[in-house]
Amino acid sequence: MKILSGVYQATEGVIRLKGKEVAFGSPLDAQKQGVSIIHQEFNLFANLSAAENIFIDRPEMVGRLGRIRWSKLNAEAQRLVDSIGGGEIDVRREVRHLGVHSQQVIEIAKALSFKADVLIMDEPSAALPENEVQKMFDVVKRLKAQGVAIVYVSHRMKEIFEIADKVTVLRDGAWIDTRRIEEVTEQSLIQMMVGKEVNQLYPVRDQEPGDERVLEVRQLSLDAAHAVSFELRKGEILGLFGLPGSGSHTIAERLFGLKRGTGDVLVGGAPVRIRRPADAKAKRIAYVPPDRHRQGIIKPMTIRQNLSLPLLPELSKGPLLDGKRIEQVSREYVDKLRIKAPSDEQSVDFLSGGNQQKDVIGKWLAARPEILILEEPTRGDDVGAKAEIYGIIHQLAQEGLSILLISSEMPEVIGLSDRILVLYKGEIVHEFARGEADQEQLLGRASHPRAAEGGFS
Amino acid sequence: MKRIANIHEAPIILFTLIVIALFSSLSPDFLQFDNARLILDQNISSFIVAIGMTMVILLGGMDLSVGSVLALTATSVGVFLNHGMHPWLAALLGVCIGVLCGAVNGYFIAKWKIPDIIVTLATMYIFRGIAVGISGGTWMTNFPEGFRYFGQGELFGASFPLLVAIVLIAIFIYVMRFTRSGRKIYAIGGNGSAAKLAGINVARTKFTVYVWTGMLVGIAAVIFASKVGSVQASTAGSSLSFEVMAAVLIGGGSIFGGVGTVAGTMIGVLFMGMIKNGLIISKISPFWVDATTGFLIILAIVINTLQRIRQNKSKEGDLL
Repeated sequence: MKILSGVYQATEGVIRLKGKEVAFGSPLDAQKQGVSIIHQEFNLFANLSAAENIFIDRPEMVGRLGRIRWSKLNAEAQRLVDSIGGGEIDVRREVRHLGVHSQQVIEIAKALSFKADVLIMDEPSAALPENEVQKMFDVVKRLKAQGVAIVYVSHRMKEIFEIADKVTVLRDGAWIDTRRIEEVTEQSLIQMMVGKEVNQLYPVRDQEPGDERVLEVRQLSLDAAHAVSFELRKGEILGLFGLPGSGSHTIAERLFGLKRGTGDVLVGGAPVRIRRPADAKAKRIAYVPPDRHRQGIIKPMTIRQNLSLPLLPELSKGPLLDGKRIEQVSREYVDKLRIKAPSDEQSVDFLSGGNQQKDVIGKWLAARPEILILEEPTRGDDVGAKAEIYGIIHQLAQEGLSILLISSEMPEVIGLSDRILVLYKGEIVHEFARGEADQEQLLGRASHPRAAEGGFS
Repeated sequence: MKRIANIHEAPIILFTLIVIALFSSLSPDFLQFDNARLILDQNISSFIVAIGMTMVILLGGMDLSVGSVLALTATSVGVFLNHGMHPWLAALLGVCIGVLCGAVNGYFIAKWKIPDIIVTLATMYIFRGIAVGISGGTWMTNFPEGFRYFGQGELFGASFPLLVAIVLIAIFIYVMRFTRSGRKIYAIGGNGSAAKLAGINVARTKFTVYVWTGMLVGIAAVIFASKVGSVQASTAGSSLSFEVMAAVLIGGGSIFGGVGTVAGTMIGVLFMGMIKNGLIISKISPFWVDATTGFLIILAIVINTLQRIRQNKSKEGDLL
C-alpha cells in the first residue's frame, strides 16, 4: 500500500498502470498519475473547511496575485461531494463540525479530486460506527459504477463478501492467492489468511492454573452502552482477543486506572477502587502497555533507572534513593529476563526492541505484581524476540502470576492462553478453553459472531 | 579519554576551556582571580534562577516569568524595607512571594493542564505589572544598612551570596541525582505517559517544581536587590528568563525535556557570564555581546547534537 501510493519507493518489481510501467516518487506523484489512497486514520485538517481540505495547495485553485479562488474551490468541492452521494454536506463548514461518515466522504472526495482511476482504501470501516458502514458501501458502489477501480483492504469477512469482486490474500509479506469472490467461502478465505504453521514458539504448559480467583471484574463499563464481566484465576493466562474497536484496550485502561467508569473490580475477593495507576500498583496490578516507545520506556534514562521506576517508593530511604538496593533489583531483573546489554547503566535507547520490551516487563515484575496485564507484548518483534518473551510469560504463569494477555496476534493468543475471551464491539461473545480454538474459529468469532454460531454459512 | 567524552557535560566544559584560552590570549586581565570573582559575583542571581529553570526544562516545560517574579519580589522587598520592616523579615517575606508566584504558575500548568508557555507568558505580564503598580513606577532605593548583607556581606571570609548560591547548587545537584523527586522529574520529562503508568503523580511533581523555582527566584531577587541597592520594577530581570534558558540549553539540557543536569547549567551560566565579561575586558565592543551570545548558543547546541548523533551511531555498531 505504501509503495502503491508513493510513500515508499519499490526496490524491486514493476507497477503497471493501464498497461504502462510507472514509478511514484511521492504521494503527490502517485495522485497525479491517478492512484489515490485513503488511510485508515483520516488525514484531515479539522480547522479548515471541507472544500479547503479537498483542494489543499492546488495551483489550479489559485488566481492572480496568489489569491485563492474561493467560489471555484467551493463549487468544485460541492460538485465532487455531491457526485459521491454526500449532497447533505456543506463543504464550506469546518471539518471538525462534520461527523465521521461525512469526514470519510471528504477523504474520498479528496482522493477523487485528482481524477483517480485507482482508489486504495485501507480498513475504511475501522473508523466508522456500524450504522455508517452501509453508507460508506453505497459510496464505494457508486464509485465502482463510475469506473473507478478500488483496492479495499480489510480483514472483516462480512465486508469483503459484501463489496468485493475479486479477493487477494497476503500473508507475512507474501502473495498467497487471488480468486473471484464467487470461488471462495468465508472459511476457505480464513484458511488462506491463517495458513498452516507449526506452533513451536510456545512452551508447553504442564501446570493447571489454580482455582483461586485473583481478579473478578463485574459489569466493568467500557463506554456508556457496554460493560464486561470476567474473572482471572491464580497462575492463569487469560487471552483477550478482539479486532480493533472491540474494547480490549479499554479493559486494560479501566483496570489500570487510566480511564474511569462504572462496575466492580475485586482483587483477591475484596472490592477495590482503581482511579489512577498508583491505585492499581498498590493492588499489585501491573500493566505493560501496547506501545513501548510512547508508554513504556523512558529513552534518556538508563536500563537501571527504567527498571526501578515503579518501585522507587520501596527502593528509597525517605526521600533518598537507595542506590545499592536499586542496583540489586536491577541486576536481578536484567538476569532474570536476560536483557542483553553490556551494563544496566547503559541508556535504554541503545537496546534492541525485544530487549526494550523485556525492560518494560521487568520494571513491572520488580514491583512484584499478582496480576499482570500484557497488551501487545511482542508487537513489532522478530521471531527470536517473540520466542524469548513467550518463554518469560510462560515461566511467570508457572510461578503463579495471573496474566491477562491482550493481543491482536492470533497465534500468540492461542499458543499462550489457558482460556480465551473473544470480544466483539464491547461485548464478550465467546469463551474458548485451551486447545479449543484455532485461528479460523477465533477470527470467525471476532469478526462475525452471529454467523459463527451455526458454523460458517 | 573515552570515559571523559561520555560525561554529559563534556562538550560544554571543553567549549568553556577554549573560550577561556581565547580571552586570556586577547587580554592579560581576563584570567585573574579578581576578574573570576567579578564574573561569579555579577551572575549570582542567574546561577540561582537557572537551578529552577533546569528543573522546569527537564520536565519538558519552560518558564518565561522568572524575570517578572524577580522584579515583583525585589520590588516588594523594597516596599517592605521602606516601611521600616526588619531586613531579615523582609527577605523572608520576599522569598514567600516568590514561592507564591511559582505556585500560581504551577497551579495552572499542573492542575488545569494549560501549556506552560502560555501560563508563564501571561504571568510574565501579570507579575511585572503588579511590580510596576506597587512601586508606582519609581525606583525603589534607600535600603537600610542591614539589608546590604544579603548581596554584599561576607561569611567566613567569603562572599555571603556566593556561599548561598553554592549551598543551593549543591542541594539541588544532590536532589536531582540522589532523590526520588529528582528521578521523577527526569522520568516525566523523558516520557510523560510512561511516568504516569509507573504510578508517578505527574501533576503534583510539576506543581512542586514550579514552587521550587519560585522559591529560588525569590532568593535570587533578595540578593539582587541588596547587591544593586536599588530596584526599578519595569526593568529588573527583564532579560533573565531567556538568559537562564539559554544557559540550560548550552549546558546540555534538551528543550524536549528529560536531558540535562544542574551542573551543566551552572557551567552554561558561567560560560555566558564569561563571554559578556570577556568581550568587554578584551575591548571588543560590548555592543556585540548579544550577537555573540546567540551565535554561541547555536554552536553549543550543534555540538551537543553531534555528541548525541555520535552516541547513536555507536549503538548500531557494537550492540546486538
